[in-house]
Amino acid sequence: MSGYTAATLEREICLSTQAVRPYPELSLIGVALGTVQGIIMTASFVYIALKLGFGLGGSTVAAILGFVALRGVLRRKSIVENNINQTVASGINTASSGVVFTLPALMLLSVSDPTLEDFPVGPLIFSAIAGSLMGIVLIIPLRKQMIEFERLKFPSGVAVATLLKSPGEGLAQGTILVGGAVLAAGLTLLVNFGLMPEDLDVGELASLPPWVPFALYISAANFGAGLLSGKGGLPFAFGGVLAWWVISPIAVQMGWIPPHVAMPAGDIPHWQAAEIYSQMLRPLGIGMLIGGALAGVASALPAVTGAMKSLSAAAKLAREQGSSPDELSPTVLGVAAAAAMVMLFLSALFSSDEIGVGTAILVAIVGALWLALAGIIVAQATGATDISPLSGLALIAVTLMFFVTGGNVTAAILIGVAVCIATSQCADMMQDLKTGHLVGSRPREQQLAQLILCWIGPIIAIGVLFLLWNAPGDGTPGFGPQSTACIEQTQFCLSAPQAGALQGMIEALQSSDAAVDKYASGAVLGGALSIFPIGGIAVLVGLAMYLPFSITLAYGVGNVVAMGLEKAYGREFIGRKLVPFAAGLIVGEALTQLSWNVIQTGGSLLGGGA
Amino acid sequence: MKGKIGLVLLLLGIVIAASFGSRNGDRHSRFREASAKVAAAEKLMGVLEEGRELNKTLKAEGIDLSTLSMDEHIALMKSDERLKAQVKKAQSELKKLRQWGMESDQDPALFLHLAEAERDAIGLPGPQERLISWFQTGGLGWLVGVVLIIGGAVLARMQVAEDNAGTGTGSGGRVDFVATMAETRSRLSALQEMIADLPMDAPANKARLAIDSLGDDVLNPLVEGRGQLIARHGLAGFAEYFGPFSAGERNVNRCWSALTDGHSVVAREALENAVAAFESAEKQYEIVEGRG
Repeated sequence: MSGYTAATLEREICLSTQAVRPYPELSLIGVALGTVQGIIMTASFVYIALKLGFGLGGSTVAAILGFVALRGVLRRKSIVENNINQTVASGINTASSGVVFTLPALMLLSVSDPTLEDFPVGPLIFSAIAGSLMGIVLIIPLRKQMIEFERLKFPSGVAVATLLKSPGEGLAQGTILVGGAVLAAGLTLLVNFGLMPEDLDVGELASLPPWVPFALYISAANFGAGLLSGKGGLPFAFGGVLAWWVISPIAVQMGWIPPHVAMPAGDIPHWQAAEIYSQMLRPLGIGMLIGGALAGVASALPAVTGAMKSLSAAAKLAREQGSSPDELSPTVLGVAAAAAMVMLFLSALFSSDEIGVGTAILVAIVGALWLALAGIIVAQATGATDISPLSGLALIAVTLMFFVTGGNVTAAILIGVAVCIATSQCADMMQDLKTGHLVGSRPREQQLAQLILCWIGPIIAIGVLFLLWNAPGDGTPGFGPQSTACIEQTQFCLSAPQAGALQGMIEALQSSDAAVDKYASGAVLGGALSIFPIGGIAVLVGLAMYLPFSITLAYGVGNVVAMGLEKAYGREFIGRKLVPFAAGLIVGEALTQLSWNVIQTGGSLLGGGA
Repeated sequence: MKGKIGLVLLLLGIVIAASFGSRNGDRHSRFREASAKVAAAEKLMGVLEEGRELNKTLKAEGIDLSTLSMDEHIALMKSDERLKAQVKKAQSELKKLRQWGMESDQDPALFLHLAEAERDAIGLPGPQERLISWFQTGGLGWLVGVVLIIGGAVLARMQVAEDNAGTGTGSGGRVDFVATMAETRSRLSALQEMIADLPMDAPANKARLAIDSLGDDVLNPLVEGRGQLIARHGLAGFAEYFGPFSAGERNVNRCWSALTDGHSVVAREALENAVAAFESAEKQYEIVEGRG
């Protein structure tokens, strides 16, 4: 009995009673909160994306609201539970951009082509859910490859992890995070109020021709993502410099962009810059993205096969030991993928009377293959730079489907919806898994949560879209043919710019204008670049060619600043000071932009509904 | 040296291949030139259409331009901001179109029609023709660029292999997986002792700092230098032990989160899992090393 005192007994009793307190992770409350947030965000983001032409990521907002609700109000202390909440919310919300970039094009085309008016809604919803499911199950096996082996940065994922971990990081780092967020909020407001330009155009001030652009995109989040990527993001900046400061002047000087003999002299440089971007660099960039992703998949195949084997082994071991494995088993993923394929096939089959069984099978196979490839491209691009080439890949998806279905616009767009949702699911799932890795969540819980609830987002997004399309003629915000807001061209008309681009492309496809030469040459170039021992170089350079240079350049400035700071102050400074600051920049801009849009949307609805 | 030559070849190759790869074929270039003329004419037509819409709006407001005298018309144009802006826009587009060759008395609709006819006469090349036409125009330069890239990549890979074998001249510290694991084991053992009796909701700043320093000093340098391990064992071999290593790292992170949340029981559990995962990584590493 020596040493066993009343105090020891008391401590043991205390430890044993307290130990029963659960540590919530995949909890009902976390999932419910995430679902409610996801639904609200999906509905609002559909509206915002129709109005502005770009989607917003919901992870940051969900993490902050989760913080307030779970930790603040409900006094539930669990970082990993908030990670689940944020995973669920963004998983649901991610369908909004997938739907908005594609489906409105079919609606807009139906105005001039009445045969497209009665497209079937059932197969549409089926297709969207199939895409949502397939995106998740196809990217899960690549978690090890992208997050553990390649160590892709996923700047927004890091920002959310920094946010989730902030209760334990201490006052100093919390202050830096808040400081970054405040700075970003100020900058965003300055731009939104028109007190600062969106692009700081140094080139114009220096009288450089438009085909040698030198402008910096004013975005705290973009700069923050560059800071977080550091040296790893340099190939991206290099790609932009190569495209605009080397290839573009070469093309003009060599006379590869000859203007029409009668073109007014003042218009020539602007026309040449626009041609270089739309007819040369952008399609070449898309080709490089495809080639780079294909080569990346081929070179990573041994590791992915190894990872799949280890998933199977882990699932088997867990079954024997009666415990739960770290990840969803390949059997579950296989069954879900097969179910999604069947849904995709049925969607194609019932999308139009002209689609037979053979074509529907072909559509399902080609759609799934492209979806997997596009998902990998988007996940890699987001992982390396935080920027997603989603809209460009959606255009290619619809192009592919257009050819596979023999020019059937309805079927092409219906399957395009699935591909687009799947692609954004891939990037979102991977980003959340990165956050999970950094806070120590179990990947299986995150994967399960996103998989089970993946059907909600497409239904909400499609429902809201139909509401806005059928907006009555009383000035209510909308974009449909009855919308007086659009007929009278008031501010309450939603312009759906991304869908407009897709509509334009479908019309171009109908006249056989697809940049196959650039896609092919870019793909080979991307494949060749992938042999070079710098991870993801082809995807980064391709993405830089695809994007406007001002974004790439500002991002590159972030890379260079991070490298300079690391050299001057060391690695610890980066981890302790720069990461929370950069995370603050990303979080601050996301929150401010969202609040701004919600206020604007509220104003529109109040003003327009009268 | 090989690495530097490889990089130069890569840069040169990518400039050449991307430049020639992005070139348009001759017919496509001519089609785009003609399309610019159509676009200019369409722009003017759009402005004229806007003008007609404005007329309708004015009519609805009780102003019929066709019934106004010249003086009234001029007075209105001076006073109405919408009309002023519209006329200015139309004049600017008209001026541009004259530079494009439109006669002063020519109907813009006819000019548009002729421009479309000029464009359609060239015709948009079909996908196959477009591909062939591009290859004839820029194919050779593009091919040279691709060969340079591949050559550069091979040299760069040779340099990486030499560096890995210890014969190269490349810079950067060597990573030692076995030593890293030994250091990790020792630090985790100290950490286990530190939190062994930690009650629930007790402050654990010291333990969290120890985890931070384990990451900064031991685990992260290995992660940064993983390229050497990939070069040494190939991606498949590397994946065999780096998977369990990453699982260990994730469990260390979980321990940090649980400590922040005041849940010492989960923190201890996570640490045990981390130790097991790192042990598994070490065993796998030995197996991979044993294979040569």
